[in-house]
Amino acid sequence: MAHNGIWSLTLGVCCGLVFGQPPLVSDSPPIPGEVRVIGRSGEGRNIGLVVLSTEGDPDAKPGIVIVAGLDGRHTIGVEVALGVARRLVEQHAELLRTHTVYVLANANPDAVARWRAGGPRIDWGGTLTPRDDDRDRRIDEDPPTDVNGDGHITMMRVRLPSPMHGLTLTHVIDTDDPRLMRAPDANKGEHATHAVLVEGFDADGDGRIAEDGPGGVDLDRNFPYLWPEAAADAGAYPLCEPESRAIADWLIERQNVVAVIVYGPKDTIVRVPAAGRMDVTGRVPLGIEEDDRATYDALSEAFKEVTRQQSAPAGDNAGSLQGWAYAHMGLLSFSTPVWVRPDQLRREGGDRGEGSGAVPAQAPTPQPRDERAELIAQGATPQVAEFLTAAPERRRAMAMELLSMPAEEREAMQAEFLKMPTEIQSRVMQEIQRMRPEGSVGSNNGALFFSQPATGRPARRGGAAQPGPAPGASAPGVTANTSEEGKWLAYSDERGEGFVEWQPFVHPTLGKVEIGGFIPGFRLNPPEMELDRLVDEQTAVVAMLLSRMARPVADCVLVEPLGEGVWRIGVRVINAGELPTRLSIGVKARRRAPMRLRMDIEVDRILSGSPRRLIQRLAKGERHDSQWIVRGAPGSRVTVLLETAEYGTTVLDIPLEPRADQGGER
Amino acid sequence: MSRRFLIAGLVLAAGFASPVLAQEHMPGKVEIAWNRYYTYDEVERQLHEIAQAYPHLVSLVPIGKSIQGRTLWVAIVNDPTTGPHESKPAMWIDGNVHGNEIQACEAVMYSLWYLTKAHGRNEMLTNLLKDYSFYFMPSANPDGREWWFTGAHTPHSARHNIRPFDNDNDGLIDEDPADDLDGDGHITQMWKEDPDGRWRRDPDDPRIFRQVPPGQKGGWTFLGSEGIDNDGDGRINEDDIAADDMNRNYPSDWQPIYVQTGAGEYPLSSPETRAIGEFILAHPNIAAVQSYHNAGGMILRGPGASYRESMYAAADTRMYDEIANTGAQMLPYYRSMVIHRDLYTVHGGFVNWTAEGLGITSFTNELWTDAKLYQGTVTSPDERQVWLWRDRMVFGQTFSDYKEFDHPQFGKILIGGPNKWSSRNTPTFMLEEECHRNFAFTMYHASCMPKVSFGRHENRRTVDGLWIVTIEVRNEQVIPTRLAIAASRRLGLPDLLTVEGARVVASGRLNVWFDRQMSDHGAEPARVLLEDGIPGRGKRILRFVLAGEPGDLVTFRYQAEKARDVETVIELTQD
Repeated sequence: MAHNGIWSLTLGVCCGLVFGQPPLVSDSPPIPGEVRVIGRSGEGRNIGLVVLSTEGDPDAKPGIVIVAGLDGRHTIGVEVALGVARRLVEQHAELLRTHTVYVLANANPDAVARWRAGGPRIDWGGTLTPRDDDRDRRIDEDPPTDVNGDGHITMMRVRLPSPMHGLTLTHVIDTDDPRLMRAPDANKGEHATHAVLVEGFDADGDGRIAEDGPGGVDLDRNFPYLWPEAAADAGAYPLCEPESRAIADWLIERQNVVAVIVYGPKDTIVRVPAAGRMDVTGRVPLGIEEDDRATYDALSEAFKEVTRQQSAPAGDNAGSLQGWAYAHMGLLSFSTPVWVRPDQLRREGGDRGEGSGAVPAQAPTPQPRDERAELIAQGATPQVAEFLTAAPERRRAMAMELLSMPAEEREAMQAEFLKMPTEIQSRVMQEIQRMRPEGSVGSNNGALFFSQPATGRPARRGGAAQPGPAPGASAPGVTANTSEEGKWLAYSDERGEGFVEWQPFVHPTLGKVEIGGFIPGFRLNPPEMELDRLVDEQTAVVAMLLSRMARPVADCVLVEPLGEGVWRIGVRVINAGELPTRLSIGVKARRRAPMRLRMDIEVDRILSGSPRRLIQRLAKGERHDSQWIVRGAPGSRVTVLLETAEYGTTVLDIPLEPRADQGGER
Repeated sequence: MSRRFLIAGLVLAAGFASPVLAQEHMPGKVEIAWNRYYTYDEVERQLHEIAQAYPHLVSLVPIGKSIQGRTLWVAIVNDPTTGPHESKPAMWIDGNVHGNEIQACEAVMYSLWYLTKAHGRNEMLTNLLKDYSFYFMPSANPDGREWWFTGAHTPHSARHNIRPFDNDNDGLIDEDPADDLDGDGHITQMWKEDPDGRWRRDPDDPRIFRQVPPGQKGGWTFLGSEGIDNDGDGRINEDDIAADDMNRNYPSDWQPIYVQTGAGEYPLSSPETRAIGEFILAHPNIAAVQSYHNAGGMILRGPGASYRESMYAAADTRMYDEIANTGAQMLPYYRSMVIHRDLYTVHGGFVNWTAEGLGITSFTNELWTDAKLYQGTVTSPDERQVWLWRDRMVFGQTFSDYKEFDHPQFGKILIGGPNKWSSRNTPTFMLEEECHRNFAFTMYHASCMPKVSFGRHENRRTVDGLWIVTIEVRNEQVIPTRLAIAASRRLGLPDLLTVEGARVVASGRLNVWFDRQMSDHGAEPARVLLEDGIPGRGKRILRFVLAGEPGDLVTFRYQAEKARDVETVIELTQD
């Protein structure tokens, strides 16, 4: 956590104005760019963004938005966003003439401020809106606490706790590395020996430990896309928080924005979300549209090339800003944690050995595209197929849904389950076994039943709030060194920080416990020396994206005299850029008007052709030809306009006279 | 003489055979005629008059402003002698979220008017107000209402909120509204004489156009609804100032516009829905919801989409059925229906949010049905019967005669046809009845809201000096304190029973009074949380093991979001 010192100074300087805090050092240069305040946080801090543009009206050019800090723990995102802003101005002024970059570096200033305030940190990056986590009609009454005074709020493991505490045994100590806790392997006859819960007291004397801490709403679960209805941390309703609402309102208003990049714990660019899978309505993509896959795959390749990231933490995208920007707003959007563990980087002939030496780089996990369809073909119900192919977060959510179903419905599902082929049944049971540490899920004669986690907190805040292991990674603790936990532990050993060794402690309620584990935020934020590299990389990513942006170009290619003052006019629009003018989802979403080609003369002078042509989308190099027959005196002129929300307006002033060049192959 | 005697006898017999009664006139302090419709300005005046006439009962609260700046009013009706309104289960009653569905507003206003004037005069309604409070919102879309009254419309337009919106996604905003070409205040139809036309005028009644069979020529072409191609794109009336269907703008199962037309930018994105949403969230005591719409004669409940059917547990649907089936008897020609199953799929509907997002028993009534034109004699009137009604019952007032018009694009045409009053809204002379029946239904629905009381209890002293107190908490009404959907989806807060005045050693629940052992509530035995609340017409039996001296007074207090808090004090004595 050493990195916070200097970086937060930088942050304070350049964003003092934006975030309503006084600059800490007065002589550092601010980011050159217009500052806009788009809203206020729950605690009254400004939510601001910097507009980077070196020429013209910034809102009339194609724009990219960078949003960071939705999760207050992800401070690296905030720092990199600010660094990228500065570096873009320093190094890519040319791109900023034709494009605009909006940098919203601190989307959740209250949480970021709380995280930076020092002292033991609670592993929570959402807002502070009061929430009765344990539904006991008392709010925020029993927060996680640094019980042993070591400066960190980590975890407590309790071996065979007294039944009077009502804890559920969920874990065993891993045999390969006794610092790691994992689910018992029932196939080897193991039984859980430990309860694992977040460090804290029973402040309210209700017999439960640290079950209701401060806050709140996870802003990245508060957007309308697949909003996790009735999940307390997703908010009372979509965009109920001032922070998420300000961002949404601004983005809806800003018609020139083409792409949204989110710096946050979850990745959707190294691992491109599955294409072509739809939600329960059959219309809203769970990942991306099939027709957008090529665009995303190409961007993903370029992103991986720049950052060397080969894998990155996936996560449940429901309620996320990235998912909303894509599936509802129809914009190109992706999220990246910016920094990944060194072993998740591609090795380059040992030239950048630092960090990647101890743990061999992991090959990218191939994503079977139609696994779900195969499962259904094998006799799985769509729900089970979805469960088996879903990301761990989603899986957990499905398990929780099952938990809250009415009994008769659950029974019906169980009956259905028992009719499925045994291979599928056992796969489901395996997956459920894997989920054990999170939700204490067990099996009973093949029928599913679920019980609540031992306490409210560890599953939500200690585990699920952090990015889960990528699907395809081994189950936690099968062997210590290859599980996600094991890799993080190896990395913390190498880095020399990040994990607190388990220390015995006599807990006032629980008696003998051990306290230790990963320090909150460790798995999200790199050491300070990485900042420069990450800013370089993400600047390169933005520059790459800007240089690939669509560029619709309109030309008059035909003025053919038909005699008697009648002319055939041809106009061609070509996308001269790399990216499509709009994604397939953009056409579906209808949140931006399509491009319009308008023949701007009196309607009665147009003999053929619609005065307004709509062009929904042009892929790279795609051309759109329009023709009109108009009346007009030779030598007079007609005007055709290409009007777009994102790419400005092109005016073609066309003289009515025969042309040498009539638009053939040039 | 004998004839007169006979008639008297018949009247007497009828009196005995039928329970139908007239009511004595119940004078009110505000007189409102219920055989007509009112503009929003007039409705606002009535609201203030009622609030001033019954200041002890009514507080008028502005909960926000519409897009065009009209005040969104909620009239809170409460009998303060039995506690503040938030302390009682409350019923939310709104109407007119669709601006053109105007009688929905009158239905709410009638309810407010009747309930206030009946207070102190009618025993049942007076008692109802002792136990429950009411939140009346006459118009959830005053802009749409105003536009419907003042603008030229069809029966179906002015449904939405009004904001700049590119309805046809062509890059232009509000560029081609409907045009009242003949200036009669209605948007009707355009017909053109055309030798190749596919329509002909009915020889018996030239107001009726009929399509001719293939191969025949009818002489008339239908040009669509009244308007011109304002923007020259070849289409007529494709983008007016209307924008979002605010009954698709609520958080539960909200879907973007490409799934749900009219959904709006995001849930609660309109100031009207936002104000309503915030008010309802701030009043978790709301235990019943009625939202008035038109038309069709329906008592509708959720879900709005088939894939949410499983959220409605059997216990909840039984309760819904009981209330709705009673309603169907009180509302002749109305049917009890499920939105997605019997009407159409709705994403982000208001009652879907209150029912599935908040766990409130919620209905939408679709006011008026053509079955009421001829009532029992003809429940599904044909075209001829509809015309008979128009001519003979409302004297042609719902029809605009065809007039010649010189259209800029089509030349000489006819404009006319059924006008904006021609469907959906209740004929004014039948309005009072429709309002009253629906008002009566909501009062019945309100009377179903939970009412918690402590029932019997039993004290037992063990040989080792502990007290075992078994106590019943009852809910006499139809609606449980926690719907099954609330318990299973963790909506709102669980009920809470607390004990003070003695040390509680252990506590738990019994299934039946004679159980010898209780369940183990676990930690905090003096603070029992009941996620499943108390069922409708049901009870929970709780047992407490107490340490205390004989004569100690122990206070049991039951709190539920959707019931009044109740308390009982039990003395520790041997029964």
